[in-house]
Amino acid sequence: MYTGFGLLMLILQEYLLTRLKVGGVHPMLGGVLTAVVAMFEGGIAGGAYGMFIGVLQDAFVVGPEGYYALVYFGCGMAAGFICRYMFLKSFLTAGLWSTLITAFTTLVYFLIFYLLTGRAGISALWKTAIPEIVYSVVFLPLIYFPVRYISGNREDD
Amino acid sequence: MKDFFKNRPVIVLFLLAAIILAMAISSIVFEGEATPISDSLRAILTPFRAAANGVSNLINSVYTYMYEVEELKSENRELRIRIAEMEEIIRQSEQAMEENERLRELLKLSERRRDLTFVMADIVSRDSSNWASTFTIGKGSAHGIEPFDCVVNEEGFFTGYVSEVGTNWSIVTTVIDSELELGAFIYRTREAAVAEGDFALMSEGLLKLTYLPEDTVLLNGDVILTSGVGGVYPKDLVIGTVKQVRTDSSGMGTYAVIEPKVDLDKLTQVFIITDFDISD
Repeated sequence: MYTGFGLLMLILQEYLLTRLKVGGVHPMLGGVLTAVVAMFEGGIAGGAYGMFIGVLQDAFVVGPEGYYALVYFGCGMAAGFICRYMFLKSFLTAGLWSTLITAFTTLVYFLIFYLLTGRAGISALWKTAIPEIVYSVVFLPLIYFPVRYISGNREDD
Repeated sequence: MKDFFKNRPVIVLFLLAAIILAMAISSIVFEGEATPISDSLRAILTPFRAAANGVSNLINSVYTYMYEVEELKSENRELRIRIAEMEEIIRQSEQAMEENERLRELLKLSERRRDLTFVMADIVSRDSSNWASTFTIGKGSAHGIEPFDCVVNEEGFFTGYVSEVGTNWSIVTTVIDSELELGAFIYRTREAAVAEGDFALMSEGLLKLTYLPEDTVLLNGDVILTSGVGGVYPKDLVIGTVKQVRTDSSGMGTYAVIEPKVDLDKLTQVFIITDFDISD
């Protein structure tokens, strides 16, 4: 179920959301998917799912091979283990980790492959990177409630 | 903590991560060649992506027709006026420009450029990254395509180059991508320059012309073509026209902003130049 849902979301991202740009950017849902599944299922499952989503995202998106697979694997594992011991399962926690993972992925990508290589200036941070992060997290409800249903989990009180 | 790393799923996950890291390093070392994981995955996904892209295009075209009819009528009227103006330019311009405009209307690309060998390919998907301007086509090494092959549209306008090749797919980096850099010249003055992408201009659908000679005088609408220097890309492919001349951030030099001739948003089919005659 998680596999099919993740594939569906990435297909939605590639064939619909790329046509619904806001401020010249469209959302990237991989980080949100990884964060939400990791929160509900824990570290190992979060890392595995992050790797799966990352491999697909690497196939859909042109860029450094394996970048998303490795980053989502690490972030998913970290998010899953930390959430298990330190956070309640809730929409707010999912929002926090979605923002953290998406921001980490986007900012590291921008820093390493664009700012330090001179392909883009610092203005790309607020023109592209930050809008991408914000627009991606806006789609959290579309991912959170189906994943919560699939996992069979209820939020912690 | 020790027990964590003795857990079999964890061991498998870290092994997979190590394999992916090795693939990532090899993709950097062997630039342009797809890794086995990427090639296999994209080869399987390409037909499905083509089908999904077709459905998406159909839905988009229906939406456009239903809700943008008035806009299309207005555009049609403007295009008729532009066609009349272009016909006037054809009558008045130099022999070479007249032939180029007339052949663009009448002749197919392969008859106009007999020194070029083409492979036609459909666009199966557009890149879903906010950081690059690329698209994927449904042909690859099995069809004779190689990395850094030049890509044009049906009118022969420079569209981009092949940046990665798989078995039945290839990725094209477009003319406005920040990775692009190629030799160019100004048609009117025959002066050499360099056409390159710029991240800030990419979001506006533009690129820039740099390394201009000191005494260059550029006019809006000046046509920029590929120079063919180095033999990497064919000569005399139209890149775009000058839109504006700006001073660079240092204040010492100038560069021109180029509007590409190819309309990337409306592209559905491209031609990959797999062989060409190198002219001096």
